[in-house]
Amino acid sequence: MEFKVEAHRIMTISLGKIYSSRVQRGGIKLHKNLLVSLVLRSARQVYLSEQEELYLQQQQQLLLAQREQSPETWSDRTECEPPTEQSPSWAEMESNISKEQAPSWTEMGRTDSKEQPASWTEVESSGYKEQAPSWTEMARTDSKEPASSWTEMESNNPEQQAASWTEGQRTDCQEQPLSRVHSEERTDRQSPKGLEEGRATREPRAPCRAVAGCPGRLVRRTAREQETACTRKRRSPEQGAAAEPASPLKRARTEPVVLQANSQSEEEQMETSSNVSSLINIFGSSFSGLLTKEESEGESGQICCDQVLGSMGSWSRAIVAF
Amino acid sequence: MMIATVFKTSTPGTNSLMSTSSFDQADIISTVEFNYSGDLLATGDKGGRVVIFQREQESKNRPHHRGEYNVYSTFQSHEPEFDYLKSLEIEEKINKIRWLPQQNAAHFLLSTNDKTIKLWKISERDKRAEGYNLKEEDGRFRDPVRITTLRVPVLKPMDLMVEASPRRIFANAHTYHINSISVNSDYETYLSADDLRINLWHLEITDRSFNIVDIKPANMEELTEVITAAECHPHQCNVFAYSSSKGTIRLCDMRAGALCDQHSKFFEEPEDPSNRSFFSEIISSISDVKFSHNGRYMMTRDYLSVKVWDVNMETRPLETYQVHEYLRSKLCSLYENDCIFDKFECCWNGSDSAIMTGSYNNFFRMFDRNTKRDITLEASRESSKPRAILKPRKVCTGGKRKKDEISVDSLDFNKKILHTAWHPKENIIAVAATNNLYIFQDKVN
Repeated sequence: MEFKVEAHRIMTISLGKIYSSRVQRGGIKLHKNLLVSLVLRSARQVYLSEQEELYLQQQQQLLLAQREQSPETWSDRTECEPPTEQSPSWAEMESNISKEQAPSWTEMGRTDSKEQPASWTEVESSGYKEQAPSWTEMARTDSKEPASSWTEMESNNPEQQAASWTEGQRTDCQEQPLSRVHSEERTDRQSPKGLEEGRATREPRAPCRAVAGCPGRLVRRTAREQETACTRKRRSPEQGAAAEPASPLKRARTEPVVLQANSQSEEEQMETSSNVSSLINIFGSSFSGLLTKEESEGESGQICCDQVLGSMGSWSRAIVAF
Repeated sequence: MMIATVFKTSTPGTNSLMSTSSFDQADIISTVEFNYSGDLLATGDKGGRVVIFQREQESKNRPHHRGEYNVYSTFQSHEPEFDYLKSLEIEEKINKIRWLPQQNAAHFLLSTNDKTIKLWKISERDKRAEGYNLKEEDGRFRDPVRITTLRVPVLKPMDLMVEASPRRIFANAHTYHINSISVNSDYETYLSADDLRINLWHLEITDRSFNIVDIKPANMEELTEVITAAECHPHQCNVFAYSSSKGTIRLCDMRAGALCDQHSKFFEEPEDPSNRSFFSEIISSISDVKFSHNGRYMMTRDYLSVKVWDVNMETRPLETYQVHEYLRSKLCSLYENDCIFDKFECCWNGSDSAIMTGSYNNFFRMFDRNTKRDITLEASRESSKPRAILKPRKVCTGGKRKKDEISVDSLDFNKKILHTAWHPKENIIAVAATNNLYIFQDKVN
């Protein structure tokens, strides 16, 4: 636990350094930022591995209780799901989805399985069309949001620097899960999580006890899902023909997958994982360890950074040039 | 072991009564370098200026002023620039100065900032011609009608004037920040290194250079290490070495090919797993690499230690000296205040028997390679009155603090000695402490 707190603190500090390096005289110093990103990666690894342990424990407890619950809480599904438990069912679902079939809810052990496939296919058929406009809408708004959240973070950052690196930071961390939870509730209607609603698992939303690990956790879980979501959403303007799961190559191209909850949570201070990824993108993602170290982590970084891609576009170009 | 006496402290821009806490950022010394004979000492600062000190000739009239260094020349080498394409400001801070061997009455040095290298000629003028035919002494032109006789101008002595003029400007060859320059032993070429590339120049040719090392990955996302320092071998003009942020050194031979991406030798010491931490990678990054004068050894400086390598042995260093091991437990705080990114330099003495490097609290350390003894000294105004003998300092690492010891927590991390230089022949050292330059000499009985 101490390692997690320490790791989180280091991650925050590292991000602060990367932010401030942008305004330093003389341009971005490649060497220093490379070192900072290495520290960030190490801290994140430690943080996420601790996170995973924690959630595994939680998972055990929740599993039993949730077997009886209805799936209404799909939309509230927490991002804090350990991938291990879900992976088999996700994999299965992915293969099914690619054939435009209802996912095999049997795996999920739903009691009202009839509803789910219906809602799933409903979502699938109509959801695409619905999602498409809202998707592009969100893409647009999201491009503004991250920008604003970006500048917000930037302007807040100096003040935060003093405050956040104190003990108080830990309490901030604790508070965040709740706010993120709220944001999820708000945005679930329009969010592309709507698609995910259909695939929600039996997990009700459990308050995230961890902080910035949540987005990381979310995207880890949804790593493979996102690939398919990626490809599906990409093609949703094309009448939603389901696509094969994205090939590994496509991972390299950042897709504007919007996760409203995440983008909102990103406005929070100390959303380190998503910030990490966005910043990685800023620096042309040098820092290979952050993106490619593990497959799931790489994708999580990818997905997180996708959110701010709209605003980062020009910066990415600049950094690639750099 | 050396006992030091203080020669001179020089604080450009302030008088001796002012406290050193209030100084202009531009006065921070960023590089120190003796020339080949040791008679000249050049310093560069953050404001782009170069100040050259010259050693006074010994004279019988002033026996106590044996070899004092006085200001010889000051000039503005680099100005701040703006890269309009990238919207980046280019700092004028002088990153490195390297002297060229003297070939005539004038002195030449290379100075570089992040992007541009300049060759400066420093020459003396102590005579001036008098008795021109076409102009008066004050410069006014004489009316040609009134000239009735011709005379030959006569050279008359004048006050010594030292002029610095830029003779070559080597620009636009580096995308990333230049961290090193090194003059080759052929005295015709030199190399310049930035984060990802090393270029070879000819001193006479400014419009092109050869790229000899390029470690930029095709996809910047795969970047894992950068070049941190490079140096030419002191005798073999085909050999050079460069260090990386991963703690490795590569020795390259230019005879092997036009591109030296393939190293000839690869020096790396396996990491000690027990010392692993979040910051292991940062502290293993090499900040300076220097060949010994005899060319048989290489010295590298990373954050906590100095290592001496045998050029013929790649597997591990010959000697490792801990500079300030007591900082290992403070790495997190040093990361927060950015001190962990400080790039300390190191230097050899003329006979390669001793090495020196800087630390915090204005401490600098010297290690004798033969006796394995080391000493910590402080460069500060209080302890450095002229002719004073420097007292060895000690940092208390734990337990009871003895008298005169300094505890780790009371070290001033803003007072860091990053740049030091050792006279090529004698035991005279120059130590840059922020904006002050201290020159110490071995006590001669």
